[in-house]
Amino acid sequence: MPKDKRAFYRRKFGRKKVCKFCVQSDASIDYKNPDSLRHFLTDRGKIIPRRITGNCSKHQRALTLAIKRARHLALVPFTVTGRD
Amino acid sequence: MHAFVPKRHREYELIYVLSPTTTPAGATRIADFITEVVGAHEGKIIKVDLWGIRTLAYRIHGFRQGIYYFMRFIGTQGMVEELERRLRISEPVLRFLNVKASDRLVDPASYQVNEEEAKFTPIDEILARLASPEAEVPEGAALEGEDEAHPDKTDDRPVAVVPDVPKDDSDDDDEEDDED
Repeated sequence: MPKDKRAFYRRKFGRKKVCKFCVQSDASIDYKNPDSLRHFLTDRGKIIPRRITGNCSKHQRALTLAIKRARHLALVPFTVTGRD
Repeated sequence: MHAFVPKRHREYELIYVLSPTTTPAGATRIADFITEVVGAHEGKIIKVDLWGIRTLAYRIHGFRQGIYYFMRFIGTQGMVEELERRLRISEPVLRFLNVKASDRLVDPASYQVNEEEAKFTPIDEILARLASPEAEVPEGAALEGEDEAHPDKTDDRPVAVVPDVPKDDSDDDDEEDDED
């Protein structure tokens, strides 16, 4: 491990991820707005883990709840299979 | 059995989805009983918004579209229970969701409400548009095809921020797997 740990990790893992909702004051989590939730879903409709998106655990919990509410109202899909 | 629940009013949000085969009279009947239940429990309807007909993300009872109503109201716990009971047994209601908008207790008597905003919009116009053969796609209806309509919207997805994921968390459930 090099002496400068931070430089090592930056080189290995790239840019440090940040929680979008902590950084952007205008970003909100709303189950009524499926467009905002789609950024955190895969093409298959699954919830993207926070190790990928960089969300903090507080906002990931709120986001998960919002996605589940939106799924119940058929605003976003539970799954996308290609079949209809 | 049930403990005494004091009449504590809070603000709630209700969204209900009607089937596209609902008649205007059927929609009015639902609006009427909601108004009746809210009135009976000393609540107040703050806002009613007809989102219109939208494409459902998945089929519900064979329907691909639904008529979305959003409303905000002040009510009590008992009122919400009664409202949900009646929505559950209403045939045209495909889905409903009632959530607490805020934990704060409010006094409905001192709450100023705009009467115009608290009125239920009839669905006649939506049904007429749905019945016409050259019906134009209403706003918010193209939920499934929106990526094609706005291809630039997908660009800022946070998925590609870090291309290589550390190997040491292989025991986690991988959400990305395609299981089927």
